[in-house]
This record gives sequence, C-alpha cells and structure tokens, in this order.
Amino acid sequence: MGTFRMSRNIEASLIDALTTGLAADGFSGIHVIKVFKQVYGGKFPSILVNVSNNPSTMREIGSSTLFDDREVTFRIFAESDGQRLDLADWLTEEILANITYKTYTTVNGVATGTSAGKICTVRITENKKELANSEKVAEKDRFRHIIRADIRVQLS
Amino acid sequence: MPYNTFRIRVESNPINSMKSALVQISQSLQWEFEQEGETVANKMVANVKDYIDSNVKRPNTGKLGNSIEVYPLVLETALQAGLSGTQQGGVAFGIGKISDMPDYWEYVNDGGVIPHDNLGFFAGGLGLSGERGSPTPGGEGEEWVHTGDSSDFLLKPRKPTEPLQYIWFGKEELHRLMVDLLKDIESKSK
Repeated sequence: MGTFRMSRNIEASLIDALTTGLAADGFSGIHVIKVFKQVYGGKFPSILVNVSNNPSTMREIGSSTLFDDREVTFRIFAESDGQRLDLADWLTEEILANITYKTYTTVNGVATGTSAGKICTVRITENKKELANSEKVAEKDRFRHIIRADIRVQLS
Repeated sequence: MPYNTFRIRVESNPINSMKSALVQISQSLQWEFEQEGETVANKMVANVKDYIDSNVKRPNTGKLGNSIEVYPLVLETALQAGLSGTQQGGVAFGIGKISDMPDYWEYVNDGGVIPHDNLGFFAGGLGLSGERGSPTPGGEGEEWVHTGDSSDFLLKPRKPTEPLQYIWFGKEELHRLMVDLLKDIESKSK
C-alpha cells in the first residue's frame, strides 16, 4: 500500500472533482489528465492539471511549518474557440467554489481517495489564451488556454 | 485706543517650498530606484538565462537565452509630460523583445507541436560542420535553421515540446528581487 503526498493528493483531487463536475454540467468527451504528451496521444479535447510550484511561506516566526500552499496550472486544449471560452469560464467558477481535498492510498495500482479538507483558491494569477503570438499553430494547439492559481489546502 | 497692529510679511510661500522639497525627495528616490532597478533587471535576465540553459532538452545553440536582454525604455508618461533627455530615463521590465526572439520562443514557453511546414536544414552537428544537410543519426549538437525554402528539408517534429514557462519563471524572479530591493531601500531610509 502506498500513500500520496500533498502535491499528488491535490492533483488527484482536482482531476477527480473536475471529471465529476464536467459530467454533471453537461460537458462530454473532455479528458482531465496530468501528462502533457497525452494530449497529443489522443486525449483531446482536455484539461491538463499540474501542481507547478510549491511556494514556501512560513506559518509564523520561529516555526518551521509551512502553509499548505501550492501553485496549480490548468491548461485547456479545446476543439474550438467557443469551447475554449466555455471551459475557461466553467473552470474558473469550479475552482473558486472550493474543491474537496482527498488523501489517496494505492493498493495494487488502484488509488482510493478519502475526503480530508478543502482546496481553496487564494488568487488566480493568469487566465489567458496560449500561443496567441504564433501565426501557424498545430491543430491541437490552436485553441489553448492557461489558468494559473494559487491554492491553499484547509485540512478538516 | 487704537489697536496694535502687526504686519506679517511672508518671505516665501510655504506650500511651494514643501512642494519643491517633496519633488526633490521624490526625484532622488526615483533615481535610486532606477539605478537599483537596472541591477534587478540584469539579475533577473541572468537567472532566466540560467533557467533556460539548465532546462532545455538540447542545450546546443543558446539562441533563445541570448535573445533575452535588458532594454532601457523611455517611459510613455515622461514623453507625455514633455520631458526630454535624461529626464525620460526609466527601466521598464519585459522578458524578451519579440522582434529579437527566435520564431519558436512561444513554443518553448508554452509547449506544443511546431507545425509541419517547417522547412530548413541542419547545420553545425557532428560530421556536418556547418554544411546544409538532413539530420545525421547521433548528430548531437546539430542546429535546425528554419528557412521556409521548399528546396531544403522538411522537419516533422514527432514529440511535443514540454512547456518551459521561462516567462513565468522570470516574473516570479522579478517579484522576489523587487521585494528584496524594496526592503533594502526601506532599511536604508530608517
């Protein structure tokens, strides 16, 4: 049996929550993944989720404990500009609504999550179209969007 | 009984004196900030170049890193105010000037697949020494020269380039260096 640490728990919790949320809100055929290359290997259209940075803010003077802060990057690979805009707006609302944080354990390669708190979005630092300056863009890169957010885990 | 009268003569306009003192302080702070700002910009560029060098998959050309420089810019507001010469000085921060960057700068930053109509030739690798040619197996160090000329070779990238996010890294570095600078200026002024 293995257990995920916080960064992987965040990624897995976000992937779980977004997959469920997309289905509940009527989006179909959108993959939620974490490996960049998979987009070009068939998982398209998709939302890519990555914990991209671990800002290290001390909780208080004299303490060696850090806030449970992370920076998360979401990349949308859409089939059309309309879908890009819809997914970007949907995703923004979804992450601002506080997502359930789960801790995961793996048994025989199968990960199971247990609710352990909330993932709170502290601020959205980037929300824009990607590859907007390149004239010729490959099919899967044509309607890309990036959302970058600082999040904090509130353990229950 | 007549009242005693006092006449007060104002030697200088206190508001104007205060204003000119404030302008002097503000100019001296601006000057100090701009001098330090240039140092910060140079540090940021050096750090971004190091970041690119240590993270690119084929660190053989350095073209992208070398194209990122610090540019002294004339502040638009200074121009609008009709200031001239040295008064226009200011350091504006940006990460790379698009006109000086190689075509692929955005793919290195954002990641993706370069479209297939990429015509050109390989040069500078093992056994080629600058000749125009197709890729050599094991030709480490070869540099792709994009020409767009259909008599050259067609490059079909098979794997996507992973996003390097060097612009984001530069922004974070700038933020960190500016916080240090402001703390430094604050401690000097005490």
